[in-house]
Amino acid sequence: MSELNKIALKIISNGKGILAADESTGTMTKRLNSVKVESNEQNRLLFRQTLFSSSSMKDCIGGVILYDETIKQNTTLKKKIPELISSSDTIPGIKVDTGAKVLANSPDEKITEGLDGLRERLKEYYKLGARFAKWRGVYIISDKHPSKLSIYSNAHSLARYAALVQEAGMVPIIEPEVLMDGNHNSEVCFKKTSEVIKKML
Amino acid sequence: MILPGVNSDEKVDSSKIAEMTNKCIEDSVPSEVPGIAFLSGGQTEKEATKNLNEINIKNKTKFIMTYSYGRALQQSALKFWSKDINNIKGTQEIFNHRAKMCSLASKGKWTEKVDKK
Repeated sequence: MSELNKIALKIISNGKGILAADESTGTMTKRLNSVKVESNEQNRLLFRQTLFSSSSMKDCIGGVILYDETIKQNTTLKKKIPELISSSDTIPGIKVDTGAKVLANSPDEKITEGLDGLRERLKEYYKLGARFAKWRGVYIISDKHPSKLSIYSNAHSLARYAALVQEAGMVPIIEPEVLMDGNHNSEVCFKKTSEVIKKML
Repeated sequence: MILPGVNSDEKVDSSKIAEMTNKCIEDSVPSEVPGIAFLSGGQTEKEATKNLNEINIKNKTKFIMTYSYGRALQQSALKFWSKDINNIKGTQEIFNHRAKMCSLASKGKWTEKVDKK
């Protein structure tokens, strides 16, 4: 079995899953403000290091997806964030896309950006301890969506991302998120999600 | 997961969600993929746990089916923490419970009863 396959299985086997803690500073600020906590670097660190030093990490969390700010932070527990995560035998990961922007020629849809300079950024994240990465492609459902353009554009980006991540010695999580927005039924969700996954893989 | 849109009138139970989700994965994902980690977007902590549990009870594929949850692991812990950001132990207890429930669900061993404890 290849090294990458071993990492992938370690993250998801034996009743373990992934803690997605890769909220961007903007999203984290919304979350913190919703519970009336000021969003500053220290508070973002404090909440996350509290989770990452929990006893359930060892048996329940095989991997943690981090955001750029977090993977570079030093905890108040005398360890860097990736070291703290690894001390529970959990694998640190990193979100590497730079967000979904409006898709040219289909203004209701989005394309995920972040390929420029990705090879260099991956090298840096590997040095910081990351052994897997995440890239989120986002799709909407309506009568006309997702369009072929959206399906192919996002598949192209995800494929290039995945190849670069593997080249850097890390496992790529392919995340096609078909959004729940809309009044479609589950049968429509089934058909459209199946189409997205088939074209992408 | 295969779910109706948030503005849909359709009522589906987790058994139907699991059946459709497993069929979608079985039909669309090549066998080289080591596993599937679902997102919890739009679901409550409990719904995301229950649906994943049902998916694993019905899973006849070779894929590992687990979680990649953000809010469904963090939300209760965040609420608790916000009342006293120095209460590390209490926050961790709440996070531990959610993580354990998700872990059980990834093995198809979660129940409503054990979640209430």
